[in-house]
Amino acid sequence: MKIHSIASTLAAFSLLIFFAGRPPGYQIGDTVATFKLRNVDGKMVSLSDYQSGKGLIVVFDCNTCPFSKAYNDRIQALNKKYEPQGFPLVAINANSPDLSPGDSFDNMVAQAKREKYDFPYLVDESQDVARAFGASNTPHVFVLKKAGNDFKVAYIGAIDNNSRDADAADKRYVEDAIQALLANKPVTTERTKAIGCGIKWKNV
Amino acid sequence: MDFFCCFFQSHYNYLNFKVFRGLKFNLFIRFYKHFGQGFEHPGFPNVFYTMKKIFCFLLLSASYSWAHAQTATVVKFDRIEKIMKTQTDEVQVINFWATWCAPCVKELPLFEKLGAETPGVKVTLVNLDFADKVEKVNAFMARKNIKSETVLLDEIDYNTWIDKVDASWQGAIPATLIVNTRTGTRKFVERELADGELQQLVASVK
Repeated sequence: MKIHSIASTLAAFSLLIFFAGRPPGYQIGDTVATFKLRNVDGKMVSLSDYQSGKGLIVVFDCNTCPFSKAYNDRIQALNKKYEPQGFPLVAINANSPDLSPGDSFDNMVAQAKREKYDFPYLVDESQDVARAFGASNTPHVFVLKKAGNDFKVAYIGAIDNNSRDADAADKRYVEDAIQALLANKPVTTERTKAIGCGIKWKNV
Repeated sequence: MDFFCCFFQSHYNYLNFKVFRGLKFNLFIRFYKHFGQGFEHPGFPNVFYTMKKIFCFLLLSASYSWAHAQTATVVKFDRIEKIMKTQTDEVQVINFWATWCAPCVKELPLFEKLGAETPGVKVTLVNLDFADKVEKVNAFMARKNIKSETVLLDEIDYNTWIDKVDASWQGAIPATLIVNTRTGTRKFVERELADGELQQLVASVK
């Protein structure tokens, strides 16, 4: 009994230390390190593939989260609207399939096919990219702005301020950020927060 | 079945007259007697008396648990602010969850246990399902027999209040705030908690 409680205390503390030591991820203005991840079509997609555009919309997303489902149409609409204007969209699923079987690679392929994704849907198997970004929940958006050869973080957060009803949203954060970037103006709201499903981290 | 039952017809008539008249019960008696063993006329009403007692017990225990499972009150953020800021002798443990969030549902028993077993601790469960789903939430809580006080936070514009709970909160759930309202000492955890961890967090703010 005593051994058990000591063991659980130790386990709890090691968890606390593990999380306390986790880097917070990219902040506004940070340069994004390049990444290379596998797409649902089997090909690898890298950040450096997007050198010709003005930036990139990176969405940490998944198949299973109710918020991801609620935002799916809006995510697809973002790519349709802004890809032609130089801001294509890339979706990344970092959920561990062991913890969330509905987010396995096969299910990602099925989801992309069913929803007719016209943007890459990448798997972050090692979860290193999600950790580097500091993505915490789904959907979690990072708008990147091209600066020379670098990509710099210009916006972090939610798509808009109403997850339940797109029409009722009166603040469209991602669109506002991209419109500002396109007009060479400063982004007014650089960071927002929203309730979402936590990313299913491995080994926890 | 009727073929067998007809042998006992007189007994059924007696019973139907004396105890039950409903068709369902009538059929039930036939079924029971058909498959029951050692049926004897004087003992039969006693068997039913026992059944009735069991039935009443089940009904009572069901109503007991219904009466004790909580229902969610739909609130705005000012209610959460009040819980966080009103000075109380109890340590306030506020857990943010939703019925669709599997890790949240998994850790709910830890909060139920903490609330029931730890004196000086007040647990509040803050549900983040959409407000039009309150009936689903209440049904869920009845099913799981949730006894902690529960509120459904109806604030869809998340960005307006997440930072007020804790500046470090990114918005993922489960998330838990443990606050000593007298000293202002607080701990915020944005992940699923392990067994025993809650007690340590409560102790650390006391």
